[in-house]
Amino acid sequence: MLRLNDIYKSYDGNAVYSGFSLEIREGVTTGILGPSGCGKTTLLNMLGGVLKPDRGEINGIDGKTFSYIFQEPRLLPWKTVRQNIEFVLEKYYAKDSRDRIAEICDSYLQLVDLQDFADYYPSQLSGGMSQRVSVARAFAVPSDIILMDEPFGGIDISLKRNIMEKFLKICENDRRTIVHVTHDIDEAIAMSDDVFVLSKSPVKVVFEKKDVKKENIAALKDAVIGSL
Amino acid sequence: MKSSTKNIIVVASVAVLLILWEAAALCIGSENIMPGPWATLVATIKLFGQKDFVFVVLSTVFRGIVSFVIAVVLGVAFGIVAGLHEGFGAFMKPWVVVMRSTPVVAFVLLALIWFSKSTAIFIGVLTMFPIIFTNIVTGIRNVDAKLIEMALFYKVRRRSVIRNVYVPSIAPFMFSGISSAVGIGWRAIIVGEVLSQPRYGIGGSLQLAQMQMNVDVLIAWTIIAVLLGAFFEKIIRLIENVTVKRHI
Repeated sequence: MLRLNDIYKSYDGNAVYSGFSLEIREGVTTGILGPSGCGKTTLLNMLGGVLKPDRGEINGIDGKTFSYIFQEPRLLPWKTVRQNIEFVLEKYYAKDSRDRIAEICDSYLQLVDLQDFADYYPSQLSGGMSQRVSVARAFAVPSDIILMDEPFGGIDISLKRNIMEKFLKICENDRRTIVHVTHDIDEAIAMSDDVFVLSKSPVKVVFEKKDVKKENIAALKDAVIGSL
Repeated sequence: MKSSTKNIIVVASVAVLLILWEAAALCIGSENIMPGPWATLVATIKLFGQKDFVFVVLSTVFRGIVSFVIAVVLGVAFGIVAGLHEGFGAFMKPWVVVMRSTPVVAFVLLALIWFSKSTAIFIGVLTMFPIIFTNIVTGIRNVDAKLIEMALFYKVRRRSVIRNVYVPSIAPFMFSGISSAVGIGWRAIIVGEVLSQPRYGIGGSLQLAQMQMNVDVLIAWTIIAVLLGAFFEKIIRLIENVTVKRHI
């Protein structure tokens, strides 16, 4: 379990988090919904250890490794798809493991249907394909936790569905702790096991539901909308 | 435009230049004041036969290379620090403004008093350094912060981030700076030689030809200087094409 205990975080004197607590189950996908600018990205950054809370504790992240899927693919434009994945994988494997790294790249590119594009440069890919590369990159890293910050926000609806399906397919065979921040209710419900709805400044949990997939989706959606 | 069409235009442009030059020479009617293209070509070929030709050219090239290496090392080192630390960038700004806006001749005259024989090298460094420095600073400030953040989130090793993110981001700016610096620096070095009169040097030979009213020799040395300058720029471009991958 990842536990945020009594977290305080301010920016320029404005309290974003003030006594905030949350428990995130491991091995499942947790969707965190909330209005834009409520501090969802700050939460991910604190979980990933790149931002320290002013006060409070985050338990369960020590020694854990992280992957990220950002809103934009964030691929190095001068590297091929394969090299982009290798770039984040290098530190996990010895220098003489090039074949192993290539094998991992190929297997995850296959899962997002991009095995034929391994030697392409990002400029040669569409936005949706680039985002699929960033999904493959996140899963290729042997991480314990995957943090996703509005990963499908900038993609049109048909591509979004396609990427989400690929994502869920990978999750079925490769269970990891995934924290998925979004302001899209349908996306959160479709992809998550647990859902939390946050309110704005200071951030509070205003709604939570475990094992979302067992719920009546229409009723759940109404409840989420009602809580926002 | 097709490259073959471009080549035809370039050849036509050179032909027009030569025709105008010949016409001007015919109008003036004195080879001592304005030799035509043919007389200049003969003078240029004769230069190759002179016993100290190689020393003259190599001396200037040597000064060019020494000042280039010093300017690149200093420009890149100071540029990286200034690009990463805003305070150092602000500190360097007045120095760079002074170097960029002071006329080369003013520096040459001062350098003649301070350095005498090394004047040309000093001038070369002084003209090339600010261009390389400024481009490196711009390159560093243009590194995509989101890519750096991605590498930070994935905890990629620092050395790998420098090699795979910073260097490829800065390289196009660095080569653009080096390319401009070589063109400007090469001309400045020759100006430095004209005034400092080293024993061997293209600038010194230009000055001697001017004093002896050998206009054909003066233009011949100028042509050699232009060709060498173009040759160095071409080398820089070749290195850039091999090292900088353009897939953006």
